[in-house]
Amino acid sequence: MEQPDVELERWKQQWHALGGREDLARSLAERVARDGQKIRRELALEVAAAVASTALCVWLLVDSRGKPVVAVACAGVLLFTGVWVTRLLTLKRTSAGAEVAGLDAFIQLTRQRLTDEIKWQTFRRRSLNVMTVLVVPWTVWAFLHRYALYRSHPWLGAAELGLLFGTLIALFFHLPRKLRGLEASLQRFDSLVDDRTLR
Amino acid sequence: MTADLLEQSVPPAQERPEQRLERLLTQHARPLERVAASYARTVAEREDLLQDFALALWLALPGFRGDCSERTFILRIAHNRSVTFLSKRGPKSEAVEEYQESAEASSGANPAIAYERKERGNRLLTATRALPVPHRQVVTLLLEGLSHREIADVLGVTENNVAVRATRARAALRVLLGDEQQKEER
Repeated sequence: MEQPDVELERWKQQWHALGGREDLARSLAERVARDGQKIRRELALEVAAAVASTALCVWLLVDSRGKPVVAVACAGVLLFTGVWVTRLLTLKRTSAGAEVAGLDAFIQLTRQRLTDEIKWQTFRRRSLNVMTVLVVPWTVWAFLHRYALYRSHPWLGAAELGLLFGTLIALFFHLPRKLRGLEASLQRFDSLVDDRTLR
Repeated sequence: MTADLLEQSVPPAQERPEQRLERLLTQHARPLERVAASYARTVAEREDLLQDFALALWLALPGFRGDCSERTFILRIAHNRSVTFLSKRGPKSEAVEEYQESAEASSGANPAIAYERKERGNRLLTATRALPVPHRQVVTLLLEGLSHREIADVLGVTENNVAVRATRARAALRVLLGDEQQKEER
């Protein structure tokens, strides 16, 4: 006859004495319903933004009768929107599949997700460089072109150019910071789950 | 195992998704709370993690085909979310004091026994948190009463691997608990 595992039974008894809030299930269910709505709202907002930017591009193209400068700008925006939507759908698919696999598969997926996110942030960083190379000469050209207007309305020049350069500078600070954070997360995650004593 | 068969014999087909979620959370609130406590450092973190469990469960429920028991399914989700949680937060030594306030001892009417059990439970929780994640997962599932086979299902590893992890984890736990039993016997 098999000996009872006294030690494990004692630990189990101590373990089961922990926890047990009566209202936990109801409060969690309420929070899930609330958060579910929030997630759906955020998703709808991202899709709506993609649709709006596409519609704006189409309108600009029609309105300018296919002017080359507008066409190039719209192509850039549409390309970015396409990549954004693809990423959104891909992440959603991997998230949906992650919960039903085994834990080791889940660890792989989490690592993959972090790696994908790093690739995406690197892509955004490079896109910003390209955009800066294009935007700066264009700004100089626009400034010279609208010099008379800016001279008569200096606030307009300050607002337009300030907004543009402010956004660029903010992105130049924000994106590398985010990338560093993700790389640190991946490193931390790897060190956490990579227990060689188990192999 | 009997509990699993009983769980599966309940027909969930007529339930609305919200009802099913609430039933599962009600049935498994305590194990979920303990899993959260073994990963989260503070009450606030534990609350967030519990919410994560519930949300993940809500998202994963439509995909549940009954190929394992509901308990196994829920614990798998809880441990998956906990790994994600740790990836965001990183491993640190954890204080257990905050858990003492909300932990409820289930030892009957005697408050002295209740207090003693709670204290021991908290020591066990502190020791569990100090284990490496793969060992911690196996130990918490063992303490929840899962068999090696069920743990292998939850973690997606072989039973042999579970046995190896369990032996090492229990040895580490013994050291961390400081041979409490021997002290008591003396």
